[in-house]
Amino acid sequence: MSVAGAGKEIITSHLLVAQSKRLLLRNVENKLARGRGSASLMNADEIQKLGLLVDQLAADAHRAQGNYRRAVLKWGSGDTSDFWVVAYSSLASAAAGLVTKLKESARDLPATDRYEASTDVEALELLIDRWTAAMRASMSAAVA
Amino acid sequence: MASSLRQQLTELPGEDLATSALPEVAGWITIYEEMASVLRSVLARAHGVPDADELRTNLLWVEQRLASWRDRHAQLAGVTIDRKEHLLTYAGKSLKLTRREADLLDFLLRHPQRPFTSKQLATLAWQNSRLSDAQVRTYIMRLRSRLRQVGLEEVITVARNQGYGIAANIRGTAK
Repeated sequence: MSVAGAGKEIITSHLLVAQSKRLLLRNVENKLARGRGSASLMNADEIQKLGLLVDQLAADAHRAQGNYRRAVLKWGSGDTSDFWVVAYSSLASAAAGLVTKLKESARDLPATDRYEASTDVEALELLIDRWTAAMRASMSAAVA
Repeated sequence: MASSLRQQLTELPGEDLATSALPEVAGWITIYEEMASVLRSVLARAHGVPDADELRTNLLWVEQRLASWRDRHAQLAGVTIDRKEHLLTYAGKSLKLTRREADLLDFLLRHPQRPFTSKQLATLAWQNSRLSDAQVRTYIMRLRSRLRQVGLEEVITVARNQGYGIAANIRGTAK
């Protein structure tokens, strides 16, 4: 098998794992919602256990999605829209995370660093807008 | 005078902003590194893509900010390394290092909050992938022992099965 072929297989495997995790999560979330409903026969202990399972599955799904993104960035081809959707969404989410961190922690820094951090926030917010728009355009291309 | 006035305006009595800011700046560096890595990966596949030039500009900006925050991190840590003279200065004390020791410590200080394996250090800090794990380990142990002379013996951390890194809060025991 060629490297490109193997890369495709790796991406597909990660995608399947991520989709399975999301399905499992959705299933248990629905069960929990029904359990919390007025017609439910579940006791508080069972509901708490389901809640814990939802948290665990959400973490698993998040990790699986991260592995899928990393696989696409490492093995994906720039000729596919999927690659660009993942690339731009990874960039936008990293930048958004950084903006949150900069805003949260800059106030505890010396004045010069606060100024530097605020200019970073402005520049990053522009980048997030551009990368989000590019991601949407790639998504439209993927659907078309 | 001006700097002491600025200090009065930004710090509370007894507050050490340098110490509290260090992990924050290290956290920003980690995310900037992640963005730079994604951008490099994207650019490697961006042949003929209309956005390639803009992405290149984005990468340039991210790399500039990364370099700037790495410098700031080293300043906040109070550790300066003269790469040319291989001279480490910390808390008013100086220590002459070998070229490899200076390169290694400088690399670790500029990449905080991340452990590196012996193989990664050999390649990234020294551009020498032929060094064995045992040789890297020996360099690290010798450097840690030498750093004791300026009160920085705890600065290089060892994480089991992960590698070597730099302490989140660099607090020397200056003597």
